[in-house]
Amino acid sequence: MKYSLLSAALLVGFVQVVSAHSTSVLSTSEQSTSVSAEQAQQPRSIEPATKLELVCTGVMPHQLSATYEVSQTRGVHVTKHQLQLTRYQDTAIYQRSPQSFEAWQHNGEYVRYFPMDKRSVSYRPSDLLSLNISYDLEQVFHLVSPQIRSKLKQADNIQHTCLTVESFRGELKGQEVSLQWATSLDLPYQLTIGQGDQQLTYQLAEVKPVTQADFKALTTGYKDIDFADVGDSESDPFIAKMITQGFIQHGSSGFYTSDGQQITGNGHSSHSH
Amino acid sequence: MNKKLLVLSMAATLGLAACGNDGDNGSNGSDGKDWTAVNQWYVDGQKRVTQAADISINNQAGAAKNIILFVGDGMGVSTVTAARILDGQLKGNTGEENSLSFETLPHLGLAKTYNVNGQTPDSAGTMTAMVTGVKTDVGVLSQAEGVTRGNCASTQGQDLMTSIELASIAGMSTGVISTARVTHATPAAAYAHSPERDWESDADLTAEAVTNGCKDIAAQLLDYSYGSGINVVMGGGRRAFIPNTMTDPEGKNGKRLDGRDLTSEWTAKYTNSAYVADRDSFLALDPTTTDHALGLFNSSHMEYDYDRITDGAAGEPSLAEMTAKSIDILKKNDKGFVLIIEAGRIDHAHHAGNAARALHDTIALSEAVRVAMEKTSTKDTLLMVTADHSHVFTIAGYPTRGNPILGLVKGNDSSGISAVTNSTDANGMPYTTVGYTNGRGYAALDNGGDERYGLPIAAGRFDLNYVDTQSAGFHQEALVPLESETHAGEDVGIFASGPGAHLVQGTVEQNHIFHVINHAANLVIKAEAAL
Ligand SMILES: [Zn+2]
Repeated sequence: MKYSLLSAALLVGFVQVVSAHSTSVLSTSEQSTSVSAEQAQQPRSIEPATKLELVCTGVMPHQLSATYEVSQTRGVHVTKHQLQLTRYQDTAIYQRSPQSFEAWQHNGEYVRYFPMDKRSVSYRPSDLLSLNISYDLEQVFHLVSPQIRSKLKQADNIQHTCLTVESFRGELKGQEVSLQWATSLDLPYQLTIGQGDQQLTYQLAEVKPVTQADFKALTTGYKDIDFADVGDSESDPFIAKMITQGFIQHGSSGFYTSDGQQITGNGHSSHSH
Repeated sequence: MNKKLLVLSMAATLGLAACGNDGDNGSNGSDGKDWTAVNQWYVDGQKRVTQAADISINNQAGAAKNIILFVGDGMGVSTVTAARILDGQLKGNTGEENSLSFETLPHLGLAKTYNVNGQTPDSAGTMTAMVTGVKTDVGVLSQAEGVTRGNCASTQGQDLMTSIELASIAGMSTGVISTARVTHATPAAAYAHSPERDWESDADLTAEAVTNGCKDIAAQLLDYSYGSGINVVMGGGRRAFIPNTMTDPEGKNGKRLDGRDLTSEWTAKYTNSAYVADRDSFLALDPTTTDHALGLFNSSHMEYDYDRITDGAAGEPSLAEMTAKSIDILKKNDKGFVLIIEAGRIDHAHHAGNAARALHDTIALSEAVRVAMEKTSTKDTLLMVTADHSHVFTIAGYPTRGNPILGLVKGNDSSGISAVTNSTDANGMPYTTVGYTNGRGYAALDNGGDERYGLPIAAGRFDLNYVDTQSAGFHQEALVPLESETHAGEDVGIFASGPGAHLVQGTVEQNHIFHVINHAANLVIKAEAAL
């Protein structure tokens, strides 16, 4: 079975997560206004670092960019990649690789962007239905849907001068779930899902405010095509290339480099043994 | 089960004495020689021949006052067959014996769909053939093969007259309806001339196109100047008609860069005109007082019929409803009308590899044709139903009679009785009856689950044991992995009734359709007389 991780935000109750591949540092992840929480990772050891003050003063939950370190452990095999979630008003953008990123809108529309070609493909809800693709917008916008959260037991809150982190714990579909929820961000601070020697962790590494200009710069200048029109556009060079490469995701690993070379599932540079 | 259909003695209805073993019990009698004592299959077949023998042919040029041409985009023969079965099964029957509305039309031919430069065609080239009588290149709208696709300078002297234009000149009323964008290839070929089907709004024009004076398709619809203009245009595609600074009632921005609002230009241009954007205002439209109606029900294509909603700003009429309203508007003209209606989204669902939505849109087309059959007479209306091209969609395996058309194949056992278990392939895995030769393949999201989404292309075989293949979201398997399933090159059917319908016979070039229409309605002669 193949699973695409290009769009899989968080696969709760889903053990066999394929390695996702990130080949470069995400472009907007190192601005001076950013806040690093990297050194304060372990649950219950969050320091009231002065950096976090910025989270309180400068970041609003609907205008932010959050960077997560995602690590997946299978026995001794560890896979790591980075996920950047940008939320601006009605749109949530997921960036995992330089080849493409994706945007979800509250009305159910979904757009895949291909920065190298400056092209995008728009899917509307019925397109996704016709592809047997189901999704939970609440999860898309918050990484963990409130429904999931409501099924977990709340433990002690961790109070900060400026950041409240609620702690949840429980079992879902046979997997241990541990969630540290940053209430003012409406996002997880840390999430761990595991079963046996398999474990998937999302750790918030960085968060920063996003202005309308930042957001516009990310998504404008793309020539868009409806997904419904892809089939009739084989003479379009971009579509022709995508037909050959399968929108960067068919094949055994589902990932390709920018020049069309398939990235295999094993021996990838982001793996450590 | 099939038995009940097979064993029906006709003795009673025929008034024959039921005696002995002479075959009145549904078999051919004990001596096997009484071939007049027959079962229902025999009687039904006989009846159809009697009906066919009774059909009168009207060969007179111009005998058709009205022309209605339905085009199912991508509705190949296998799609018609599968939709017929699904339609029957949705009515609670075995399905195979069912007929879609247009399958009851008396005349049938096959169209060779290739384009001048394409063995497997696209909608632009094929619709050009049907509306102009001339085959052309892939991607080109109602211009001859002398043009280079996408090159405006090459279009000099290449425009082809369409049946809609001829009808307007002749003083007839005209209409173009589609569930796709009305600027999409099939409807556009009826009224626009362009070397590139993608030039739907001015934002799509190349610098070369602008320099050499080519106009976008939506602007051409407004600039249409033949006769009294096009009377009815309905479908999707609002975004090509409004400026990019304007937001429509569904919250979508327009695409036009020239600032023109073609919807208000429409109502300004014509008296007794209307522009409607949702089903409620569509229903309120009075055909007796409306002579020019523009209905744009979606920013892009209208929804698949399976997903269509009817209320509010996003509410959309069905293809049947648009057909009924259009005929009511057009039939006020004593000189008759030409109406072209496209079921435009069968094609899109197939491209996505989603048979259920393709078949439901085909059934919606069947309902629209039924409405047209009810609202017109075969005495004065030539009705044709065809497709522009086929898709690589197949009906395969040996499913038993009445097996769900979207289901897994369950065959018959050695005695011809429906098997209890699924048929399996060489690897022991079950398989569906319908599938695709190429495309995205199976959506690897077997049990749904709202935590999962993704867009994998997954060709080849998958374990379907615990998969509901009849769900409308099921994504049939495909052999060759492609981003999008493709058109197919085999012939498509042409179903016809009314004056001139008998001219649909044999295997013909697709441009034959224009010439049948032209003969039946005398379009060229009437148009020349009016000039
Ligand atoms: Zn197509």
